[in-house]
Amino acid sequence: MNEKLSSFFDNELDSTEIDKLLNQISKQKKNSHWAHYQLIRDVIQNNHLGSHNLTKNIIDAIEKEPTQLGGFGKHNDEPRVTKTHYWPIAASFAALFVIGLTALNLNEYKAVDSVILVESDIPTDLINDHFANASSNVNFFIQTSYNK
Amino acid sequence: MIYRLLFIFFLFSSFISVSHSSDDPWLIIEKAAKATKFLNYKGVFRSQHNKKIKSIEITHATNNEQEFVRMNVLDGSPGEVLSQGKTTYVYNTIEDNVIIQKRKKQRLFPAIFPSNVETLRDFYRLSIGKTERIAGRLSQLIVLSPIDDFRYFHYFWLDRKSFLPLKMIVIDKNENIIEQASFTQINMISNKNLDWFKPDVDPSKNYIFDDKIVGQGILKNRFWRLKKIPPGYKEVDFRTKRMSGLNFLSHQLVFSDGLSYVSLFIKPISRGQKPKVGHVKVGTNNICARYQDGYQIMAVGSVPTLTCNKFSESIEF
Repeated sequence: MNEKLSSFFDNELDSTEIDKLLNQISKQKKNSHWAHYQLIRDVIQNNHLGSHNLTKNIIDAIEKEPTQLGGFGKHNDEPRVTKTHYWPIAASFAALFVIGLTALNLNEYKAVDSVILVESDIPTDLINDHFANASSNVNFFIQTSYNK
Repeated sequence: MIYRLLFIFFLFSSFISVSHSSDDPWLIIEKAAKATKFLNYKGVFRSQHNKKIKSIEITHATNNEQEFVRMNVLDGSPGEVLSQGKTTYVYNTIEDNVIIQKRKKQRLFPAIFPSNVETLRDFYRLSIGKTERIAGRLSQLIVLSPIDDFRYFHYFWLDRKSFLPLKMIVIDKNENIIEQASFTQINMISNKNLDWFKPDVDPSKNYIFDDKIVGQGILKNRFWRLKKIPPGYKEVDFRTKRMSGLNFLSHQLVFSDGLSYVSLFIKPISRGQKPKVGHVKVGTNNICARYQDGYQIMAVGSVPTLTCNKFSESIEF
């Protein structure tokens, strides 16, 4: 039976033999064999275009894609004034952006870690600048903020 | 009715006579302030602040109502102050260099009293002490006691003849010495020649004029507000300096009650730098730090801790 199928796809059977073969296939439910031999022939003859389930797979893949928000663009023949409906939304986004940025900056100030002042932290310039402007003869002579 | 008017007139006239009488103890401070301005004298005094003690030679003269002062540091590294009128130059020798800085004239010993004594009356009590001998001259002790905790006690020994301050001691309420200065010798000079008014020039040194101050005086457009500074203190100076290597400014406000000085520094914090908070004492100087809205605020001064803290908390943006 399989040999006859193979001969059929190789065009080696005459018309009477083909009729007999088709009757036998329909009776013996050899659909799977038929499909396999058809696939083998297409591949050998460079006529194979893909899986027979290709269309179904493509449809399934499309269905798995996420739903697109916003829909498709509208035609330009709509009145131009309708575009102004988006300005409040854009303004809201801009306001939120500014508020968020300000909040971030405020948080940055609040979140700054301070350290307890110790003597070694005190800049020499700071002390000297004070002495240079205070009433004390000894300290008045101190050099202020001079860097070579 | 007539008796009442006579009584009020009598009371009012007696009040005026008391306030202008020579018995007013505050007049002695006014006389001392004038003596430091108009007398011509030359002497040597020792000045101590914290652990630093230096001998300083001073020559003072008034010519055509303009003051000329020259001070020389006699101990350690050479230093000079030349002051004419309101202009003061400080010459400091650092290794091979002599650094010249222009500064605003300060009230330095013995000229420590403000021209307007009224500023002291409201916050100090004056009392007369005993007579002592200072630098070979008889002197009268005058004590200025603060009426609150925002300032220190000041003791002055004034020359009995000229009222020139010969000695000064500043102490806190626990009688710790904050600062002192005392003449070891002093002579009045009658020669009005001003040949002495010039710096000692050393040809082997490099003379460098250093002035990084970008703003000076009273700032008009300030971005901060002062609230509840200690009573009696007023802003007497303001300076702005560009931070070396950075594109921002540091501000210094100087406050005084007539005798004590406090500097208030306002400096922006650079990115990555941690601000300092708290209080530390370096010698007799209190330093109080606070952080607000991106700025490091520091108060520095030989004043009580309470005063220092008040000043550091006084800035708001």
